[in-house]
Amino acid sequence: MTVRRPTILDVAAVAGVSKSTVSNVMREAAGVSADTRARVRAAVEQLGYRPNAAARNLVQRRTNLIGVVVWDLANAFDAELVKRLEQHAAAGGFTTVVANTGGHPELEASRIDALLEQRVDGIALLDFTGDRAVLSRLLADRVPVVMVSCWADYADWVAVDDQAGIDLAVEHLVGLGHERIGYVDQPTMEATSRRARLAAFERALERRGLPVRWLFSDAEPLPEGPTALVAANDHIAVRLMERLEAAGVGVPADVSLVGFDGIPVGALARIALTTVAQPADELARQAVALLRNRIDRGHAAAPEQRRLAPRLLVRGSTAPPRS
Amino acid sequence: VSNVLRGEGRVSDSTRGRVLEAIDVLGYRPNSLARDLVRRRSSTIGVVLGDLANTFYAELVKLLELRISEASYTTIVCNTDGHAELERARVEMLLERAVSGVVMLQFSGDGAVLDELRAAGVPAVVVSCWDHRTDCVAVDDASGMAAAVEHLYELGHRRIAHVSSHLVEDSTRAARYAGYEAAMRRHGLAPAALDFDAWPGPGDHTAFAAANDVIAVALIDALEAAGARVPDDASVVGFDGTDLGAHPRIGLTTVAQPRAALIAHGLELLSARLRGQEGPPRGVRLAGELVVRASTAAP
Repeated sequence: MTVRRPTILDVAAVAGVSKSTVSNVMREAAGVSADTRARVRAAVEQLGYRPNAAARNLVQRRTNLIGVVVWDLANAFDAELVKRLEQHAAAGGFTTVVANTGGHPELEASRIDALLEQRVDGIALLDFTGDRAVLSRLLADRVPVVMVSCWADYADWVAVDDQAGIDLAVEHLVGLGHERIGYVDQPTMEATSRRARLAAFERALERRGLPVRWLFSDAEPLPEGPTALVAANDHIAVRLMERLEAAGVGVPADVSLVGFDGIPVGALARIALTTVAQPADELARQAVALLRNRIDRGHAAAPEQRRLAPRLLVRGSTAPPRS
Repeated sequence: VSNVLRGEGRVSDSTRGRVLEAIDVLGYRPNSLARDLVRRRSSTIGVVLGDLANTFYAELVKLLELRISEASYTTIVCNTDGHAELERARVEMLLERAVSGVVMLQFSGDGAVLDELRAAGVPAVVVSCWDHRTDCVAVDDASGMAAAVEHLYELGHRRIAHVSSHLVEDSTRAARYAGYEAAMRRHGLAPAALDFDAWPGPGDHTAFAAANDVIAVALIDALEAAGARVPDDASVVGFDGTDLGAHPRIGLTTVAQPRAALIAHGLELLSARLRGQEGPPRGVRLAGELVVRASTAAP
């Protein structure tokens, strides 16, 4: 079980140089002759020497680890964001450590503790339970944090423009002739986007003089009355489509349905979900850039906060109301 | 203090109490890097998978991460997109991070990766695909796929094609194809393997046994885009048993994998090695279950 790994001393002995010369070659520092460099490289190759990341990082005080805190990997949008974050992080030399919280505040706190014990250089919060204490402590401890598709006043974040997105959805339904429009979210949904999308929905209806009457969660019975529903995300929308149709309510024949996120499942012809698509790759790219900035520049700089524009994808789940 | 933190050595209860209280007051957090440096191991498990966007693997990772954290380890998840070179690079990175163990949810079969892990003394378990050179737990791919073919045969299908893609790792693809081929030969039928990456169209096949649910669902989409109805004009069976396939609009007949059991067995194999258990690689085969829904019918 315990195979002794070659150390820097073994490399130095084989190459006939000092330990610090090996270290200089590994760090690609200047001032080592080409001949010495070649001998060290040959010894590294021969022994299969791998510099110990923990030792190197202790000196550099960097781990090049980024913690990713995610709500629910079974939600396709979360999985997609994690995948893209990992790709952008890897391109910048960072490794991601994923922690799934399932939306439980206790788990959020304990997972973040575990990440901190790993001495991650920074944390990307894909979801945030809204427990201010967790975030405040991170910021007080000067842990670089970027929030992705959620936000707080005093942190760096990048998120889709929820208000514009919900407005696109309502505009589309009103354009089709719907006046009785309901809204469906989920109690366990990430808190900041949940509040923002709900508020945006209420404003969008009020601005158009439409009744704000059908606001419910997907744990509740389906409401009677609305001819169209906006779901707070695609995951909810796809399951809602299933519930509606199981109850004999056709989509879009009886009720039109709009989602939010743009997950691949919604693009299947059988599902054909009209949705407000988030720019997932751009969210991930900018999140990694913001986090790297914060890691490099420390805490003096003012928070950077970016809203990205969503896009309405019209598919088969919306139609004019039955007259 | 160090003894208290590591739960070692002779420390009186009152001393322990005082240390723990001070830790509480100061908000002291043990530096795991320094600790790992001493033990030359981290309390991290690396997880390597091909495609986090495939809901089957996303579900597996979620379960795995939960179980791993219950054992007070953290998880590093690496996505390879099904590229063997990326797989090697990611395993190399995990070794550099001195992970305690590696769980591979997809494995290309690259022997160099296994050699590297072995040389580093880091145990690995392959979960949901099969490799006799390392500890592994997988569904019985061949009999699962044979059950799918039997189901189609009983419905009256004779021109049944197998459909796979590059996102299915080689060993799994080979095993599932072997199960398909054996079942076809048993009935004296000619096997046909179609590549969904370069989809040639359905040809004269009336039924398709797809290598996984993601392919099956995309296949239904492609068939229907070309004007064929499923299951009226063509039947489709998947493999994995994802939530996606269970959606009534999809209604995918599939061979369901026992996800929780795969994870439980996989972590059991891994923790035995972490406890120092020696011996030849162990492989565990679990049975899949045919779930009949609406994507299959008589031709």
